[in-house]
Amino acid sequence: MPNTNPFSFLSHECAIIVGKVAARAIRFLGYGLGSNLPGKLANKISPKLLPYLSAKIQGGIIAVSGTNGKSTTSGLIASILNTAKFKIIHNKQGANLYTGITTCLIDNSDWLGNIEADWGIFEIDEAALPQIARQTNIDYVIVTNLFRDQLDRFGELDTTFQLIKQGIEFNKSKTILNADDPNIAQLVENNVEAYYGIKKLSNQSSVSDSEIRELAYCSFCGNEFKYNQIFYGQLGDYYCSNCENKRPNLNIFADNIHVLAQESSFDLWINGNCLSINLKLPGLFNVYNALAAASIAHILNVNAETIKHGLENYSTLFGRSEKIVLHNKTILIQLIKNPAGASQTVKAACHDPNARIIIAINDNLADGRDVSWLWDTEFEVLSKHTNEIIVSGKRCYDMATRLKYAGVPEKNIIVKESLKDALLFGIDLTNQNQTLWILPTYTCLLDLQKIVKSLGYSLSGT
Amino acid sequence: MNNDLKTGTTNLRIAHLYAHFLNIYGDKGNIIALVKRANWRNIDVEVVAIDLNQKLDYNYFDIFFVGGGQDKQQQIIASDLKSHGHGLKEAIASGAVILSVCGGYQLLGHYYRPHQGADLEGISLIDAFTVAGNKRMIGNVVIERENGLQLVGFENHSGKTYLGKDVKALGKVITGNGNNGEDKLEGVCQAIGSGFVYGTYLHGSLLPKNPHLTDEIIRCALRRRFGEINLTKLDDKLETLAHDKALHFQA
Ligand SMILES: [Zn+2]
Repeated sequence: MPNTNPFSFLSHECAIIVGKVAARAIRFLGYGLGSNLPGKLANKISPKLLPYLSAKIQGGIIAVSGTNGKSTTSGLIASILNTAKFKIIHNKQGANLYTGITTCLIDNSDWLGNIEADWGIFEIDEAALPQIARQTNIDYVIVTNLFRDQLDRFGELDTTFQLIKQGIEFNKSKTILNADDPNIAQLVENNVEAYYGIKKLSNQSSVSDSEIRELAYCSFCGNEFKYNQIFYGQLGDYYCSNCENKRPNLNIFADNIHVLAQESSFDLWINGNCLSINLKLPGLFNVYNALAAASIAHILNVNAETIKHGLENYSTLFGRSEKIVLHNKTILIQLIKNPAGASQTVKAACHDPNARIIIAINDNLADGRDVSWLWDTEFEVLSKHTNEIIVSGKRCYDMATRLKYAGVPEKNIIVKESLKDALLFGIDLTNQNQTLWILPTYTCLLDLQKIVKSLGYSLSGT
Repeated sequence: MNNDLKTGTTNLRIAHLYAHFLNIYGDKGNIIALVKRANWRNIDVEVVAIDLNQKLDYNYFDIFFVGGGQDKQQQIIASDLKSHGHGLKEAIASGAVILSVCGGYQLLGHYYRPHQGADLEGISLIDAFTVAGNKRMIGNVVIERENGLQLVGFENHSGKTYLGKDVKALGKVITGNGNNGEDKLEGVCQAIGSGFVYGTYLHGSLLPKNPHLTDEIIRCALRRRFGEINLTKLDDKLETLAHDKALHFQA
C-alpha cells in the first residue's frame, strides 16, 4: 500500500468499527436512520476513509447530481442494475453529502473494510460534488437539471453550475447530460457519453406562460436561447437565433409520452431501438429520471429488456412518489423543495381527478429558510380543485395565504398546524376510491415518516 | 374629497420592469398581491411586462415594479434601466409609485460598487449607494415603520446600501440586518413630488404577508388619477396570521 503512514490501515479499521458500532447503536435505539453520524465519526478517526473504501468498488462509481430527481434517478439505476444481476451499493436513504456517502460505504463493507460490489451508485448534493470528487475517482456523473433551489443555501445558479463543473472536471469523469436543459447541456464539452431528452410533446401538456424559467444563454455567442417547444421550466427544444448552436442530438430519448394521473407511458428510444415503457410514477419529471437511468444502463451494456424491466418494477422511495396504504386509504407522498419541481408535482396532483391534497411546509435549514419559492410555484392550477386542501407545517399560514392568492376559495383552505392532525384529517376526508396526495418539504417528510410509523405502517428500507 | 368605489370606475396600471430577467425571490408574489387586493375591491388591474429595449409610456402607469435578479441579469438590465431614469423620475414626481426589491432597489441609487470591476451605475432616483459586502446577510427580518406598523420578510443580499441623510428609510430594523447591517435602517420610502419611491431588501414575498403595505401602495397609486379613495376593508385573517407568526421567527 503506497501510504506514508504504516499504521493508516489500522486507523481505517478502527474508523470502520466505530462507524459500524455507531450505526447499530443509532438504529437500535431508534434515533433515526443513522445515515450521516457514523460516517462523520469515522472520518474524524480516518480522514482518508472515503477514498480508501470507495477504491474497493470493482467497477467504479456512478454519481447523480443536479437540482431535482437525484433520488429517483439513482433508485431507478439501482433497480435496473439489480435486475441485471450487478452487485451494487447505493445511498438510498438520500444522505448525499460527504458524511452520508462515507456512512453508506461503511454499511456496505465488512468489519475489515472489504467491499464486494460492482458499482457504487451515489446521489450527490451539487455543493458536495467537488469535495467528494477530490477524494475519489468518479467514473460517471449524471446531471439531471439545474433549477433555482434554496437560494439561501446554494446561492445563485451560476455558483451551483460552477460547483458541478468542478466536480466533473477534477477526475475528467464521463458524463451523461440532460440535453433539454440548456445550462446542463453546455456544462462540459468533452467526455459526454450520452445526451438524453424528450423528442417532443403533444399539446396535452403545454406550458403556462407565467411559469418562471431560468434564462439560458448560448455559450458560443451569448445570445438568449429561443425554443421550438418548452417542456417545463427551461427544459425544452431550444436553439440560438444568432449562431448554429442548438440542443444537442439526443442519443437516448422519449417520444409519444402520455402522462396520466399517477403514472406515464412513453416510447424509449435507444440507438434506434424502441421500447414501450409503462412507468408507475407520476409527472413528466419522472420520465426524465427514467431517461437518465436508461442512459447509464445502456452505457454499461445492460440489454433493452432488462432496462425495461428495471424501470417498470422500480419500487419507490419514501416520499418520492411512494404510495402507501394506511387505515385502508391510499396515500401518495411526493417531496417538494423548489418552484420547478413543486409546480410539476402540483400539476400532477391536479391531473388526478380523485386527489385529496395536503401541503406541508417547514422552513428549517434543510427545507430552505426562505419561503419565497412558494410564490414562484404555480399553485394557481389548484383554484380549479373542488375539494378542501389541507395545509400544515411551521409555515402553514404562508402556504394558506399562497393558496388564497392562487384563487382557492378560503373555505376550502384548512389549516392544521400539527402534521399528525393534518394527516389524520386528510385520511378521514379521503374515500376508498380517492388518493391522498401529500406534498411535504424535506423536514416535513422526515416528520411524516415518524408519524406514519407511529400509526402502525412499517416502512420499506428501514 | 373621498370617493367610494363603484365597479369598473377605477383601474390600476402596473408596469413590471424586466419581469423576464428579474424574478428571483418570489417577486411574482408582489404582483399577485397587488392584483388580487385590487381585484377584490372591484378595481381592474392591467399588468404589462416591460422587456429590455422596450418603449415605456411613463405617463400611463400608476405603479412601476422592479424585482431582484442574479448578478448576471442585473448587469444586463442596468444600462437599459438607466435609459428610463429621467422618465421614471418625472412619472413619480407627478404621482406614480415605484416599488423595488433587492437588486432593483440597489439600482435606484447612484451606483453599485462590486468587489472588482467598474461600478454599476444606478438611476439616482434616491440619494443612496451600494457597495459589495464580504458577508451575505441572510435570514428573517422584522422592521418597524414610523407609523408603528411592522413589516416581515426575508433578506438575502451581500450588497450594503447607505442612504443619504435626507432620505427616509422604510423602517427601523427589529430583527435582521436591513440596508447594511450597521445603521439599523431598512429600505427606503421617500416622497418625490406627489409620488413615492419604495425600495427594500425584504422578500418572502414582501406584499402578501404585509397587506397593510400593499394597500398603502394601491391607495397611493390610485391617487394620481382618481384622487383620495377609501379602500374597502378586506378579511385578512390568513395574511395576518402569517404576518404575526413571522414576527417571532429567528433572524
Ligand atoms: Zn449562439
